[in-house]
Amino acid sequence: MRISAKTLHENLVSYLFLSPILLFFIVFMLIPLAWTIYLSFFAGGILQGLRFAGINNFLTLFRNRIFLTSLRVTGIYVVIIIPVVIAISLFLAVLVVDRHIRGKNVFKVALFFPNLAPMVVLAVLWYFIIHPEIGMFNIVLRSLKISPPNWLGSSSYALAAIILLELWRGVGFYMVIYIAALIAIPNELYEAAIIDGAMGFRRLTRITLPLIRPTLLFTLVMATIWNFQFFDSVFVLTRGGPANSTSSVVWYIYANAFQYDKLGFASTMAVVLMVIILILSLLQFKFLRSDFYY
Amino acid sequence: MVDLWSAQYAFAGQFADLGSAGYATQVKDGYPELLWAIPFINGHQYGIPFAADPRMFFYNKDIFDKAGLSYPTDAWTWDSFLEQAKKITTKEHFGFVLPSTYAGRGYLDYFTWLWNNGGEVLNEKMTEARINSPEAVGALEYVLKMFREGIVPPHGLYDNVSQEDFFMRGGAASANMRGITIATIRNDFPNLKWGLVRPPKGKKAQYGLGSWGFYALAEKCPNKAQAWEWLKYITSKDITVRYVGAVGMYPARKDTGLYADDPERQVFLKNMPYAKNIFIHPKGEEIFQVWWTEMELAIMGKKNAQQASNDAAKAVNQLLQE
Amino acid sequence: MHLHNRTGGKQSQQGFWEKASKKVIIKKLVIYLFLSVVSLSCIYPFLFMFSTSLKATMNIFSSPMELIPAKPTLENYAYLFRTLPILRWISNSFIVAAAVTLVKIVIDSMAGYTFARRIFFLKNLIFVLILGTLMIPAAVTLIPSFLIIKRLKLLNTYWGLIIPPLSFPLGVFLLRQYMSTIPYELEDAARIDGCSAFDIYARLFFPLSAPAITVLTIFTFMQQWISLLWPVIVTSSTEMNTLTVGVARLKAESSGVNWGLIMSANTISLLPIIIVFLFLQRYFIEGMTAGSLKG
Repeated sequence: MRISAKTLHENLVSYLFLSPILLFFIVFMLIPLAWTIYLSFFAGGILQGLRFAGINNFLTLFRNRIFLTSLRVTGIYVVIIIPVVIAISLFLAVLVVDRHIRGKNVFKVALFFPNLAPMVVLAVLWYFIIHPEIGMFNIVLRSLKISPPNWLGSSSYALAAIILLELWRGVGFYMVIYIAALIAIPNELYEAAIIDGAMGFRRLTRITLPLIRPTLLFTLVMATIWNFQFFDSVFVLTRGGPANSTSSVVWYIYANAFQYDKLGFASTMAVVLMVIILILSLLQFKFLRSDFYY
Repeated sequence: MVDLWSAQYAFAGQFADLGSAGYATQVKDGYPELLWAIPFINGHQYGIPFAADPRMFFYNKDIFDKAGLSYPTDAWTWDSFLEQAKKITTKEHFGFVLPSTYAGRGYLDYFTWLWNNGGEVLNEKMTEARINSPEAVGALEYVLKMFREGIVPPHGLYDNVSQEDFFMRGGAASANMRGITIATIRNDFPNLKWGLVRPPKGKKAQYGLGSWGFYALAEKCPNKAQAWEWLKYITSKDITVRYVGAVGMYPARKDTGLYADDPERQVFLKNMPYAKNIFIHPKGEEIFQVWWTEMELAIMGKKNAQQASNDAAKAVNQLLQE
Repeated sequence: MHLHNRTGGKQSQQGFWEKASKKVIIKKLVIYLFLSVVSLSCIYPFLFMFSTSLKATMNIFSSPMELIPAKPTLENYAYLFRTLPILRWISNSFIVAAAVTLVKIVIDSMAGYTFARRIFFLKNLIFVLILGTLMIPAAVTLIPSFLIIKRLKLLNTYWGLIIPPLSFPLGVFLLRQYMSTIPYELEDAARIDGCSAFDIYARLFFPLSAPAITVLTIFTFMQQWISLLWPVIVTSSTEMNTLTVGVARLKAESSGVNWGLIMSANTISLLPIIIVFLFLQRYFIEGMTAGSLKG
């Protein structure tokens, strides 16, 4: 096969264009990825030095109680948040898009507002809100004759507090995405359905849901990947406690790498995390993408 | 300047051995023995003790007056402490505040109680956990009583620093606070009438909690002799008096004569020999974490004291063997 | 509400519409009510945050639920600016976010153009590679990135904050997607006019991709502004803190003591974003959700 000078030139130009992104990509994405996998077979850290440990890390990983707890904590978090957030934000989106409602923009902005703040700011604010003495959330609960738990001091409720925080934020975020998707559905379809006598609920399930299916799938995958890695709220509010009840996987990786000086072990966990997320995403794609009509 | 939390560096050989380099003997005599021994790790002298922030029990005179109780003295015992705290706890204020979060090193206060009952987290050689010894379990049971009887705020609310603020606002009748808070009280809470007392006498001891900072020389330093001269200078009497005096901490040197005219700070100085330090171990951070997790579970009522202590010992031993 | 009428059928139809409009009104009211309650509960904490920042600490504890402070004071802000380099934090965040965004706009659009329009050796392989890494959690690349930056002696510097995030390739997809929709005719015309590849990119594709680039700008900027995990590892001195790191560490250190101070820091953190948001609302929302419709 003869490669013409022109093709060579074209290729060169292409690579020239690509070189900056490729450079950063290789140095800070690919190499770290490979390096982490490499490190996962070592034990130790920066200060203690690294020593080769073979698959030891992986074996001890699944016997490590705190890691298993972190998996469980992360799992509970994801399993609760995803359906609830998506359902609520979808519901809100449907309400806001309703043709009878004015002031759509006001509602949109108001509900989206928490997303303007970094999670850190939200978490700090949330900490203030659930403060046993002066937190307004508890004051409201007390006025409803519900005695509020000691949120962050109780291993049963600390995770709930963090979940509520993410709900507060997430609802507006996904709602906005769904609103855009809902708006894209042409009105004629609804009108045709009304003429055919379809009631609200049927319109929802037969027209709306199928048509926003790609968006639903996308948000589902995105939310899974994002929520599986929750860290910021833990860092600010609980640091994994009390008694590891809010230790997310990413938090435990951070603690091992930067507090206990166990880089090798942290890398092992990172690899496992990555595998889990990949599997979850692939599963979701497989099951939900089938029979994609329209 | 490094502190006990950076001890990992010492174990990793990052600090120069001042003893073998012949530097240590030049200044050793200027320091009390107990303090000189703190940066002595693994058989090597890794640093010069510099300053500390020991703790004592502060009590709020107004609250005691209102309750009609006499002020605590150094002779008070664990039993009298509990009794008095129960009597003094009202809806407005607690008898005591015990920080108990892991975040913000809330577990530091627990050591006072642990030690004074004769307990320890690790054994002398730091190879085995001693946290489930009868003394340690006894200390835990006593602390649990504090929570059960409501004389301290609920778990997870206050850590090291916020507990001090809580006391200063009148939230608790007494608190175990750092010496540095004297300045804060004088500045921000001038109306607070307070007194100092040593921790309640435990069965075995009456230690307070100290936290020491020391200066170390980097092993990789190319110009050790010069760096050593610098070290000597910054730990010299003048500098120590100026620096330590300015921040309100307490010096290690014997000869500074700081706070001669400050009776309250003098109390701290006088009690420095009783300020014990937490143990230093390369895996320290993780040991605290797994140990305190079990303590928290006991405080939250998920396990009883013996169970929690046993589990803690198991977890710590596992760590030590890794 | 059955009204009997001589014209039978028509009346029943009218009755139907009357009932329908009443239903509609009730439905509207309920929805408005519900939406208002939810919206309010999303916003109220922020109003509260602002009002707390204006209260002296004493008052925070004595009248916690008070929304409009009886004795507003700026002392928290004064203390904030006096003791913490918060302006430095804000400018750090801004510098980092702006730098990353600007560089990304250039290199991602260049790459997007290349994938959209040019043919080259190993094109598909590289594309799939880049696509695959989108799903990789940040935690995986964290430690080695840290080690690399450490070796380069760029820890706790602006470069250390700016360089690693440049590797996230979302922009490449966004722009490739958009640029694929630019008609070939324009490109052919430019070629006939003798434009070099760079000209075609810079004068044609880049300007025409303005919408996508705007989306990318906002997304990247916001992503950097709110980022915590990487900056908290890279920075070790208070001055180099980005805003998020500063606020997080502030909370950790003062741990629920000085609420007025903490809330004022929070408020200041939000201010720049709110201002930008008010002006760029439309682009903002689209940017933050990064055109997930096209997903």
